[in-house]
Amino acid sequence: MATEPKAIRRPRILHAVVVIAWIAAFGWLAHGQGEDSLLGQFIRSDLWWLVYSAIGILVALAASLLVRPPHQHGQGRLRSYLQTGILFLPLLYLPLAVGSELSTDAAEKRSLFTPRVAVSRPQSSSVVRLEPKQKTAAATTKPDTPSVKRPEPTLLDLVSDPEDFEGSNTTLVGIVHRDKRLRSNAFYCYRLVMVCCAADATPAGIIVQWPESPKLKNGTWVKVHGKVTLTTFEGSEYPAVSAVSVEKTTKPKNPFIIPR
Amino acid sequence: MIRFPRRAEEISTLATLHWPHQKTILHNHRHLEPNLSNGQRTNSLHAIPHPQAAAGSSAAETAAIMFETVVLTFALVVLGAGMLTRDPQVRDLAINFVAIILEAAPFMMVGAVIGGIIEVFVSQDFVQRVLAGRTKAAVFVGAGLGIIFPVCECAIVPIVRRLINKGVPLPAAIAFLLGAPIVNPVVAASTWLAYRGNWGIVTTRLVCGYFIAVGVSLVMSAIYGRDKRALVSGEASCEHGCCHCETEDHGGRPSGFLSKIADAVSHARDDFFTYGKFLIIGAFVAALARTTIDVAAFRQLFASPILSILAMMCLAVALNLCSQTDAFIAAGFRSVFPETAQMGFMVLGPMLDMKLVLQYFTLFRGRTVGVLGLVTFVTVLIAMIALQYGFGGIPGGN
Repeated sequence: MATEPKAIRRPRILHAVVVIAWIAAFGWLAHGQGEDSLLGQFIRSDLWWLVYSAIGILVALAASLLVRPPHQHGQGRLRSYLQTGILFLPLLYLPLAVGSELSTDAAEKRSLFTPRVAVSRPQSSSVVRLEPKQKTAAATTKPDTPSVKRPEPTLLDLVSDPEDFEGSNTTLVGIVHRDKRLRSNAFYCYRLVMVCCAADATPAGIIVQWPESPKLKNGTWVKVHGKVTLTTFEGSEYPAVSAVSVEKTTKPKNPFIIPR
Repeated sequence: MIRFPRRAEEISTLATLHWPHQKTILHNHRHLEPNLSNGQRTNSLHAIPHPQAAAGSSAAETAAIMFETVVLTFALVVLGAGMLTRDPQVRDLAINFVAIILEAAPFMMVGAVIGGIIEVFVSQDFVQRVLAGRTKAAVFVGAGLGIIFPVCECAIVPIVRRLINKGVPLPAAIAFLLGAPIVNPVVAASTWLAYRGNWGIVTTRLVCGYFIAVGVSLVMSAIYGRDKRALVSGEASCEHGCCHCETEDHGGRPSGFLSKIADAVSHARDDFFTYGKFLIIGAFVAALARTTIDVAAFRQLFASPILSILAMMCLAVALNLCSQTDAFIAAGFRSVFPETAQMGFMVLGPMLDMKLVLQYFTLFRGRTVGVLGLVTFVTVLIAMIALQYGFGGIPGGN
């Protein structure tokens, strides 16, 4: 080992630095349980095992550096440094990503407004899906039946089947988006639905009619109480809430809606 | 007639003249193979490229360095600017980038480990017994062999080179080259996960991958037949990323089980470094696209399904994603493009992307690479258009 040539030592050191940095980064993200884990900001919890597996593999790769030198395949010094730099890129972006949330601009680019007629079609059912029990309850219970108590509709319920809940009361937590196309007494209240990871998260939300809308800032988390209704926007029918109260609230530990 | 050099000094000089970085390989081989006989050493030096191939590789090397430098510099400048200006778009980019890496990198690592295990534990003789000597039948077997040997496209080229060198017919080797990175259980599992258990998507991907691999191989067989000129002269030269397992015996180390495990992990580690960077570049480009592209505008731009399919196929060529992870990227385009376009992305990517094309030049002559690329692209396009207009989309899809 003491007489190891430079051509072997340099890549071995570079590889060791990269692998250890990846282990540290993945370990940091995976640290903590449930909603406290930073992984929840990026991928849904039933895929966390992928990251745990990766940590195990990375540890094995690091250990292998002790017994087997890297094959360099004729790779020059410049290429080695470039490779190392590229492999460090995700780790350099990590501090910026942790603690941030996708902006309202990102949500808008991911097709913020989804007409009622579109979300009820089967093609989007994999993204915005009701839980079977909720769907059964929604289908079998009339909204205005006073004798049967049923849970208040969630945001996903309202986006999927707003007509089932028209006239019923609801309480929603979501993000404010003030769109120029909306009237001044309305804003869009949405949350991101994560199918696999944050990169594929798409917004699901409704229009909230609230006279004091101009006072709300984009990106604010709010709790909305009101009555479900339908409204027309740019020629299509959208679910809406006629708000009784809108109050600022803190961001939930997991800001995403995770469909089952 | 090309005269292959015999003596080590001669070889070293040639390598320095024609392919300077190859000298490191020679050095490493000597380090790893202290107990080889002269005959074995001569055999191992078949990795020396044909001079023409070496010149091409040198140009490719320069292009690769420039490409990687540009990507790295751009990513660092964007990061620096984002941290200074606190631009929300850069934060969005960071979230998307990290999310894609967290989801995709583990699959790449699992694929690398499986590839390492196959490399060390599966005998190439077995593969030859299955394929060699039965050209037509071997095409159909080769395209589906990934079910037994789940290798991604990152690991496939060195294996195919070995198979060709051992006498496996060219069409069968092409069928394996194109089919194995798609028709394999790891890819099926990742596609199933990315599409939340949608078996229609999984089945269509595997079936399309298999039949397109068979179809392209038969077309290539009709064009080239037994014409050896389709291949690079002499021994297939060794481009970056090949593992050299076929040309070295791991230094004559004891071939015990633990030693083989160490070799397998070592191969996995090398794959992680060699191909991980392609995944990271691809993830960065995908995150950039996800951050900057306005879905509504894109929908209008690619309102036609054919244009959508073409756009996604071009994206697959540009992104260089691993077949074990590309489904997650494709799934990210669910609300943007039709499923046939996503399928085009998932079927073409493992068969034809920039990093693969570079590696194909180590197997085939330039003209053959061009024909193979064109036939593959057109076949996938026709298949996706047939799915879109003949079946109304992916059978069993959403």
